Amino acid sequence: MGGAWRRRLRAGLVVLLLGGAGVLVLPAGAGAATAPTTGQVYLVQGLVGTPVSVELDGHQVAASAQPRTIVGPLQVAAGPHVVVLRAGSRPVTSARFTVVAGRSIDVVAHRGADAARAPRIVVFRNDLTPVGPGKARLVVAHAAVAPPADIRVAGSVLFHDVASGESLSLLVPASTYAVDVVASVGGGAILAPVRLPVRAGTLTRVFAVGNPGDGTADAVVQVLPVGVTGAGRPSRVPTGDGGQAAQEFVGDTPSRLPFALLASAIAALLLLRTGPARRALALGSRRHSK
Amino acid sequence: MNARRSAGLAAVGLYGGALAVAGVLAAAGLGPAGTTADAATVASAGSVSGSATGSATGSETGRAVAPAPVVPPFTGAVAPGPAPSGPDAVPTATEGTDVPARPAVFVPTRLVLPDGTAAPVVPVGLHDDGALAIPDDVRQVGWWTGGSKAGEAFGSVVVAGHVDSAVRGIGVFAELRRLVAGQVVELDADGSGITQTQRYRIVSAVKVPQARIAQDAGIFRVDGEPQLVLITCGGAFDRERHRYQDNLVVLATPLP
Repeated sequence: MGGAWRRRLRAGLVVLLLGGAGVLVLPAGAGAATAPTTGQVYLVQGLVGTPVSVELDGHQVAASAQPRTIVGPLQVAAGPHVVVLRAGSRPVTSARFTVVAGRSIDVVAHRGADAARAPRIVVFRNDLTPVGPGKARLVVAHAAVAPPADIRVAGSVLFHDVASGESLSLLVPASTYAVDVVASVGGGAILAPVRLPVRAGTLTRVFAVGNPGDGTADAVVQVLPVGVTGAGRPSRVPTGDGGQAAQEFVGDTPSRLPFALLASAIAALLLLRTGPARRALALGSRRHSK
Repeated sequence: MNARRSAGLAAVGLYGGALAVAGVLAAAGLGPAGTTADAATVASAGSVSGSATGSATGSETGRAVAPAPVVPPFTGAVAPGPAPSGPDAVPTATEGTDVPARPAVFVPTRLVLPDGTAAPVVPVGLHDDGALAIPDDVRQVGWWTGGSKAGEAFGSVVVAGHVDSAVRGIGVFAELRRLVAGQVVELDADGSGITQTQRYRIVSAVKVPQARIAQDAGIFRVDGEPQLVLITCGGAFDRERHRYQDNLVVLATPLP
């Protein structure tokens, strides 16, 4: 591994970081009309404070992956593989994992819930199934050195008692959301509130990483495109051309409708004098005002 | 897992309650205006809500966070470092557990009305002219594919059906005219021996002129509080044009 490569890679990282306020969205997996033989792999570097080199099956794919960066996408043949992360020549962590053709996975290096134990790797599958118009799939994962947590979106606990290595997903309308993570027991902060833009037509993943105990807690955000399925808004809803129902419903004629409704409601009250009828009247029959 | 989900749902409910005030204000914009201002409505306070705003999503708090830098992988041939030694030196990676936050999100295949009548539900899109493509069979109703699925945490689940048809007679959604607030309707989906269910409590019924329903921000929204929207025709029937003046819109909120 020569110095020239290091300089180029570093320059590339600098370019990415300087230019990178925008969303870096990469094409989805290789699944075309023909049966795919590869899967898509991202390596999420969640080891705060430890730049690592990344080897896949003995071949280096990243010389110095900084903490809170993502290496990828890799198109990898279906089947078993081995990833090794090193600091210098010393292995930091390694794992076997399986690639399934046509699927997309995140191989996430993180410290686990216990800072005293060795870093570990957890593999999350990316759900790239299409979402409805104007929506996104938001997935928040707990990969921090912290006990089980409540993940809060817009101040409400949407994900309760999530342990390190677990994640929950939610279909949300595109918007900017306040996301924070607190310990389920005791409420201690695990990830301070972040403003997360969630764009329509994406899988937006948030990994809570680091150790709140030493101030290194942070969020790693990954955005992948997903398909959008579903019709646009209707211009009208034509649901009747026979008129039989108008005949059937007492008093439902053009000139007498409002008065007939009022009259039948009053008649119902007088005749029935029961709870449900009283409630139905209380709710309405008031003229609609604008 | 159940405690986890119920806590999440209860919290969503509380969140929804907090939005109810905004919902009441938004509800004032829902319904007929102008020429049909004298149509009577039966409306309850509170649950019809408009779209989520910045304050509702909490986006004014917290530091901005951008997507992480993505480093393209290096693909050249490089001599690897020493491999971890021993047959068990490389453990198998644990598989992350990705759990849906909502207990069941599904495309409905059946709607059950308060009187027990069940209507098949089919997914529907739009005709070329933009009209919702209601099933011709008046015993079936259509679920708008651009809206939310049953069980989603936001937005409208829209189901529409014919009140009647010149060719096929009275439709199953003629029953919507008899529904009152407090009754429960249910959406189901059958599959693999399991039936998924979401129940909704009716909160209001409103007549909206057909020409104006597309402009109603509350009916076809994909954000804001989750609701079920049942649509058919109502109001006066124009015998010359063979069409109803209004849409009858029944709104219901999901039950835990």
